[in-house]
Amino acid sequence: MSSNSQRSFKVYKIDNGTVIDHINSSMALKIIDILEIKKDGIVSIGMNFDSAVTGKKDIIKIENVHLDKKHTDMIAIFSPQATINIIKDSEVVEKRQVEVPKVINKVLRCPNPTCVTNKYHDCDSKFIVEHYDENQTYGRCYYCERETLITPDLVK
Amino acid sequence: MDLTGHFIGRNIISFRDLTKDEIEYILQKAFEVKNRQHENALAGKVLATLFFEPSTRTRLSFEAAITSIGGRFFGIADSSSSSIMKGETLKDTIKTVSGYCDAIIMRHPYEGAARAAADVSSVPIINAGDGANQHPTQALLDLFTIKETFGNIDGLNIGLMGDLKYGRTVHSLSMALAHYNVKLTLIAPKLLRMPKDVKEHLQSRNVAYDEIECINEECKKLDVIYVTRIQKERFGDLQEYERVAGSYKISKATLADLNPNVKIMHPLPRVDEIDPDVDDTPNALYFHQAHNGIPVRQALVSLVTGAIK
Ligand SMILES: [Zn+2]
Repeated sequence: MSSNSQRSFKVYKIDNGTVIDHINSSMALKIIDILEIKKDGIVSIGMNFDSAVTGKKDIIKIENVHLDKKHTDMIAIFSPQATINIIKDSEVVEKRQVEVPKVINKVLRCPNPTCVTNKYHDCDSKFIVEHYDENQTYGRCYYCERETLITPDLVK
Repeated sequence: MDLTGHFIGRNIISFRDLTKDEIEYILQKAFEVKNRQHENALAGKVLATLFFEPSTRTRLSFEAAITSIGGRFFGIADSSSSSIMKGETLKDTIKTVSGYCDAIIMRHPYEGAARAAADVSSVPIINAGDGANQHPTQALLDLFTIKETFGNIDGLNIGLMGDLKYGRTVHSLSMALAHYNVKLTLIAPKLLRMPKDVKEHLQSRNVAYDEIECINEECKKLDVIYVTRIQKERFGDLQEYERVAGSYKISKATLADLNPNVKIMHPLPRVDEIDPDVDDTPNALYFHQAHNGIPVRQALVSLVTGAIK
């Protein structure tokens, strides 16, 4: 284990919960937004750690919450290299990668101003992911059917 | 593939949802309706025509279609004149109205409205236009008209001309034609070319297409020219509009340079992009095309309500 990653565990050591590591630098706050975990327990954010993989990285730690795969896969939209560590009794009991989800519900807004999802408060957004690579994800709005490059500014 | 009963309860929202077999089945039923094989099919059925924005032409076509095959309808012609929608969300309106009828035909100014309505409706939704997005019954009646005229859609050379960028009709029609073995010629000024995602859709379906700026020698091979209106408002520079608009008009003189059997289609209403002197030629197909909206809409409404299996 490199000294850098040890440092992140030292500073952010938790006994129980979820650690999201290797987040693309400066995306941590956006990821907290899309995960909708602000009310879910103690959330700590570390930004701009040195990373062998991405140069700089962010880390998020959520205490006493074990996020499931479906939930954490949302992270892949903006940070495909992120890793998830599930911690119980101070041990990493599960370590997993994130995968770009097929459907993205609610968390994004459609860039089309006359899309029905921007006009009625009771119409939630929904994007169907059509294609993606390491750098970008394209989704089609389930409602207005327009294809869009999914960028952080589309997070509500 | 036997699709008997397949459409009962189905929403008709977008060409993205329809397979070729399903399109062919709808067309087959529309031919049967036109041949009077399903008279009074909609007897006992009640339809709602909810036009949240006015479109007299489409609304009249649906209402004539419903009543002349034995159905009844109630509805609204535009949202400003009806109190039902005042301060109410689209979804609440649909939840209420779907309790009064066997299917809802709706037009709405916002893209995605029909899909959002279908999320909460207890009866099928037929999209009669959602903003700039889809208008599937128009593309179905276009296909029906081509098939009726030529006997077959495969093998045809079809030109799409005019505003290919903003024209919802030509986008839906392109998606529909992508199911067939056709060759497309896209005729439009640079500013109003077919959008990239429609062209990518054509490529993904292996549909051959050419892009040209105006009618040329090559257009002699065309069996159909589908004309759409170029709106002045699309041009920032009116002089530029004046310069290009003339190249996208069909007159008797234009016809002289084309295949003598070419059929001219148009979703109507036209302004001046087809000269009235074309109306009496055997090439003019556009009024016949509009009339075909009746059997196509009758077939669709009957299929989703189970009146025709
Ligand atoms: Zn949208």
